[in-house]
Amino acid sequence: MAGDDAVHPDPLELAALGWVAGYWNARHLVRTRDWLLALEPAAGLALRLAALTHDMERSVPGGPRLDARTRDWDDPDYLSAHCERSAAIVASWLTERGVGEALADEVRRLVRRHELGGGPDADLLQAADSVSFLEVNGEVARRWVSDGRCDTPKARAKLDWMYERISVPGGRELARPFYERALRGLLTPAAGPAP
Amino acid sequence: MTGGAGPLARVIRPRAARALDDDLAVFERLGWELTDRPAPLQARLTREDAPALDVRLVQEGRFFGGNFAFEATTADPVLPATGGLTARARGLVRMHGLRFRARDPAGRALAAALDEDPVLQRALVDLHFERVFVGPDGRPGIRHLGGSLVWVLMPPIVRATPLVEEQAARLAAALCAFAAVRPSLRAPA
Repeated sequence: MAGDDAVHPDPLELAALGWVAGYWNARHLVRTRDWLLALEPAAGLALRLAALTHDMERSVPGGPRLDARTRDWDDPDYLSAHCERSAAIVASWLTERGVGEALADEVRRLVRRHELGGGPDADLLQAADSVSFLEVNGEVARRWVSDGRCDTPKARAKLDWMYERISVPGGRELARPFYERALRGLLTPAAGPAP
Repeated sequence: MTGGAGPLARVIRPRAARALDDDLAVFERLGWELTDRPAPLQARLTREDAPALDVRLVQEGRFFGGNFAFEATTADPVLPATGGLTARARGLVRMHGLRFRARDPAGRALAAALDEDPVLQRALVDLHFERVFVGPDGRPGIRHLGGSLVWVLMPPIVRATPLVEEQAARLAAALCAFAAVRPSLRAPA
C-alpha cells in the first residue's frame, strides 16, 4: 500500500473526500487515489487531488454523454469535453477554498489529461484511473449489454481500452486481475457477481 | 390504511404522492431517470452504470397523525443475504461514521466490512438520515429525514419536508457505496 499520505492525507484531500462523497461513483475516485499511491508512493498533492476528483463533472447534470452504440470509447470529442468540464469544476472547487493558483492550475492540467495521459504525472493518473475503473466498475460492462447500451464486443472493447492504455511500469500487473474478472463477468453472463 | 374515504385516503395520501413527485424531481435534476412508478408512493430510479434505486414513502401512524417517511433502497440485493443489519451513529458530539450491528452470526463479517469501509463511512457522515439498515435479502436502505410528509388530524396540519439536492445526491451516493463493498475493494497490499 502507499506511504504515509494514504494514512494521513492532506487536509485538502480530506475536504475533497467530503465533496466527492456526494457523487454516486465516489468509490472509483477514492480508489484511483489509492492506486496512484500504489504506483507512485511519492505522488504529490496535485496528483493526489486530481486522482480524487478527476470525474467530478459527472456529478453535475448537463455534462457530455457518449452513445456507446455509435461512437468509440476513445472518441476524442467526448473525452475532451469530459476532461475539460471536470478540470473546470475541480479548479473552481479548489479556488473557492482559497487554494493557491499554482496548485489549482496543476490539478486542472492533470485532470485535463486523465483520459489520454501525456507526461509522467498524467500517465500515472491515467493508469490509476484504469486500475480503479476495472476494479470498481469493471462489472458494469455486463450490464451495458443486458441494458442494450451496447453489444458484447463493444463492451469488451471498453475493458480492453482501459487495460491497454496503461503505460506506466507495473500498472498492467495491478490491473490484470480486475481486467480478467471483468472479462469473465462479461463473457460468462450466467456467473454471479464476484465474491 | 383506514380504508374508505377517510381523510387519510382522501387528502393525505394524495398529498404524500405529490410530495414524492417533488422528491423524484430532485433526483431527476441530478441525472437519475424515473423508470417505474408501480404505486403512487413508490418509484424506481435508474442511471447508467449505477445500481437502480427504489424509493418510497413509508407510512407511520394512521389515526390521529403520522408521517410518510422517505426511504430508498437499492432495487436489487447488492450485499450477501444475512439476518439483516442495523446501524448506529459513532461519535458523541459530531458523527464520524456508523457502526453496523448484525442480527445473526452470518451478518457479522458483513457488518465488520461495512464498519471498515472508508468510502461508505464518509458517504454516510453528512447524510441526514433517520435510519440506515441492510435488509435480510442484502438490499441496503436509508430512511431520510427530508422528502417526507407529516400530518396531524386535529388541528388539521399537513407539512412536507423537502429533500434538498445535496442530500439526494449524498443518499444516492451512499447506496451506491454499499453496492460496491466487497473484500476485493480493501486497500491494496
